[in-house]
Amino acid sequence: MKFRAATQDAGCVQYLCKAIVFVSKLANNCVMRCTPDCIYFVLCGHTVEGGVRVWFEIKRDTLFSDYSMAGLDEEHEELEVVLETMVGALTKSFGQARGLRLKLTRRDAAPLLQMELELPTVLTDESRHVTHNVPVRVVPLRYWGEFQTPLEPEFDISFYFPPLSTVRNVLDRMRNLSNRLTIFAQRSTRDQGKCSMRLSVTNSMASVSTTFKDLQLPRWRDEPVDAAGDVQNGRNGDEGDEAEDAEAAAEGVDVPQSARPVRVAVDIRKIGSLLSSPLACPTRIVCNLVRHRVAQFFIFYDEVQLQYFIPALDTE
Amino acid sequence: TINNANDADNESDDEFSLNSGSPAPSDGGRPPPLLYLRITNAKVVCSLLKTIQFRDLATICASVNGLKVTVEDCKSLQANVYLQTSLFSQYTLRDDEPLFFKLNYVMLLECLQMFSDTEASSPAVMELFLPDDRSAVELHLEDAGVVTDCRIRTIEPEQTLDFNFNAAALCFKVIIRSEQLKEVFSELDPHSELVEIFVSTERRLFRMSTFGDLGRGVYDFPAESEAVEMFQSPDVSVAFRYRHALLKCCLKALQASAKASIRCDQRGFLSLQFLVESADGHNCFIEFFLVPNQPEDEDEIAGSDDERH
Repeated sequence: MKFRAATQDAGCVQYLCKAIVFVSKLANNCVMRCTPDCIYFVLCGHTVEGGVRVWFEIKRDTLFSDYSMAGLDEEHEELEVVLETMVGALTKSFGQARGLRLKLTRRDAAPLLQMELELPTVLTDESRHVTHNVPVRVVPLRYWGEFQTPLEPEFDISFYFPPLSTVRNVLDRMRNLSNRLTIFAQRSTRDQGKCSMRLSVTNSMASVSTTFKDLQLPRWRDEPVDAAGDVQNGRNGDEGDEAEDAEAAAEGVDVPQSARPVRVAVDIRKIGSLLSSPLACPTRIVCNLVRHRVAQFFIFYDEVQLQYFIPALDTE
Repeated sequence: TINNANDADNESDDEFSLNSGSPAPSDGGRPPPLLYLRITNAKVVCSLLKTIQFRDLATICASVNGLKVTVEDCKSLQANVYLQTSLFSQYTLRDDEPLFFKLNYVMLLECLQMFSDTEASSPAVMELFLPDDRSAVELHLEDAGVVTDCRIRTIEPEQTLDFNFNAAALCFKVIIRSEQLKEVFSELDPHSELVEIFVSTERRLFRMSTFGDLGRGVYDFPAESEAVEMFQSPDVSVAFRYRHALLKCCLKALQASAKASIRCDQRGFLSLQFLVESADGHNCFIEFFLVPNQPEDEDEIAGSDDERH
């Protein structure tokens, strides 16, 4: 196995380092998965209460001027490496780094990720090079399945999340009422291309809900669309709420599958940490909800894409 | 740490549909609300209300003059914020008699601040309703198309304390500028359980003293000093002691104010009134009543009476 990547652009170094630091705050273990086209940082919080899973994808062309790798063999052209201590090495010195070189090496039969940072010196124009050797573990082949990029999952509803500045303030206030946040989303009957989202919290003394209207719906690649223009990537709702069906039937309203409200209850703290990113404002955030199962966030920055899965509090 | 599962039962989908507008209490067959307010300056109202948030519960009295918000502590302290009707862009009291309701003050302030931290230059518009059944206070805030609805359950209101403060038979009255008074307040020895207020008729001064392990702190405001705008002295010099912890509750209101009027009746009950000036000329009052510490509750305090003179 071989891996080598380098960049001489200070901006790229900063970006990569900030991204790694941010992502490592979201969950504990960090696996770096290298493929010929991309580097992924995968964080799987396997915890009892249902962990958060993060996939952070960086296209190699975006950040590295020099990149080469070779996987296990021809069939497994990927490399997966656990990097718990990478963050420690980076945080202290990256602020002024002009260049970064990464290389997988080994010393005494133990694999290391060698990180060479090029830093300025105080008085002269020459650079000094600081090398960190971070011990890494190569993930055994049999576990690679856990780190595969998830296929675009089926969702009940998908929409563009409203601007972070507004949502952040609302969530901060709501957190003081309860840790349990319920997200409702529903397609607008007036305008099929839009939907509304409501965030709500309740405790014994008060309940608060905030509604965001006119949220755009994204188009997913390759999604089949039926004659009515409804996205068919959603589930058929067979496992959905019988209660909702019953209410609709009671009202005598024939509610099309895609117009039924979708509800997911999550731990508000998990969304909060996601939204407080040190990276620049994301260009857009897509939120997918699977009724009573999971809330998925796809966060697009200029060069990278972050996927974040938050499991629902009460799964069915 | 996550609130109990009963919360799930409170979420009913039938009130949920996002596609219908949120019903205003005045339509859909509900009787008109007992109280309706429209506030365009939520930040100002919030900052006033925060000055008396030292306990979790507040009692609100709505009358034709406006709102009076009351927070009390241990029957020894009462704080009132008066919000006149002119502070609100709309104020409607359905029946003419004053109505009382009680709720969790912390929750109310959280809801009022929902949008006040944003950098938006236009202040959020907020409506407050107390519906006919009085079960909850409803808040409706709208800012740039984002709508927030809050429901805060009300609690059975209890009679608020009446201190029988006799303004006609005062022991003394002083008015001191807050700029100087707040410095003294914040410097009071935190280890001193009691604060003594001594007003001298002969020497015409207002004195605050503390009694800590390290010694005694003494702060004098002579009647002639610039900070003292008015000095109405007692017939004979008097001294009363108050619990420092209670006096501290006044600090936020003092810091927000321009001047403080300190009146004391013959029993030593204090009435502190803080004048908060606002940019648009709507002045507001925050008032505190404090009960003096009873001599039998006091521990031995270092220093003799001679030191006072």
